[in-house]
Amino acid sequence: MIEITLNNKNISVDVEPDMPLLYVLRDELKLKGTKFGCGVGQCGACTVHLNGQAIRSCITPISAVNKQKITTIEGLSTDGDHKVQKAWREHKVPQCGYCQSGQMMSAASLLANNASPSDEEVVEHMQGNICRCGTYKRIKKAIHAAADMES
Amino acid sequence: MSVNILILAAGASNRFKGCKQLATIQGKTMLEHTITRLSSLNKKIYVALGANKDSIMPHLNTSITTIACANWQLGMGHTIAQACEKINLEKSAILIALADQVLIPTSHYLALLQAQITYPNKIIVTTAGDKVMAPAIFPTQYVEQLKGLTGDKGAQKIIKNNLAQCHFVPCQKAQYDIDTQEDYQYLSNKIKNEMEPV
Ligand code: FES
Ligand code: FES
Repeated sequence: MIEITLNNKNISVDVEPDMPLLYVLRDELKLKGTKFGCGVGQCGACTVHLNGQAIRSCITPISAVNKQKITTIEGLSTDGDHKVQKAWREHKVPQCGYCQSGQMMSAASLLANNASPSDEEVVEHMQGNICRCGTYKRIKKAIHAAADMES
Repeated sequence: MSVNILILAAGASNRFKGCKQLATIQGKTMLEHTITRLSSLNKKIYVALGANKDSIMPHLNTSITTIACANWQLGMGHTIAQACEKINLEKSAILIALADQVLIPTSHYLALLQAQITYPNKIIVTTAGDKVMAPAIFPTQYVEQLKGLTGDKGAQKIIKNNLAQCHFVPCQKAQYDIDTQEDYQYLSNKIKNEMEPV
């Protein structure tokens, strides 16, 4: 049995210890907000938080996060009102949307550690999240806007 | 402080008698195994190459940035120094990992990252028994010292000179690396049961 605190709830799951966290979230727990992109740690679509840090869940075995705190897009805020989510709406960031839950999770972990990141810091932090639709410009704008919001 | 990742894979693996970085375990090269584990962290990954550079490159996917270290023959110290010159570390820390510590699980790399967040100004060092070793995370204020490394001496020297500034994270599995064909055979067998398939 593996126990994790998922979106502030303690849960336990009975799965193989090497099952990727992403599969546990999507297939076992039916939390579909976190996306499967490449499955090999190259695109960032599967980004979630481990104790507040952005990690890629597709290549993280569930056993590696045993007894720890995982947050998915579903748990980022109660009403979709995290400042990143608000800024994303305001700046109409998504195009097809597929990469965006990962983008927002990465952005939220950046702002949690760095309240007003420079352009360069945004680019560096977000480099692991690929967007096929090329929404990068709006992502950058929205992150700066979120940084400027009263939280 | 953000973190960049540097995997050292520049050595000639003389004692291995062959290209160590490309020796496969369960169908994947050692370097690929290390990259996969570290990719969990969602940070930028650099791989320092020297010997066998041209044969290793085609095995790396496009999300990896390679650094060609012309001075690799002079030893690991030179490789680290050269690689650190090429990465922008003005404001970021650097996690230095080796390509041949194949038993280290993803959870250890995640634990190092966690420790770095908790102790941003400390050097985060792996220990096995009473030995300090890679992987380790150096905050930006140690980058100058990394750039000053020479010869065969790796970053161990900096760790030993700054023990009071280190935070230690144990990982028994870090002590196994692959130097010789015997190590390779031994670990390939051991791994069948121990390594987390990814
Ligand atoms: S799905 Fe995890 S990085 Fe692409
Ligand atoms: S919005 Fe389509 S992949 Fe990013």
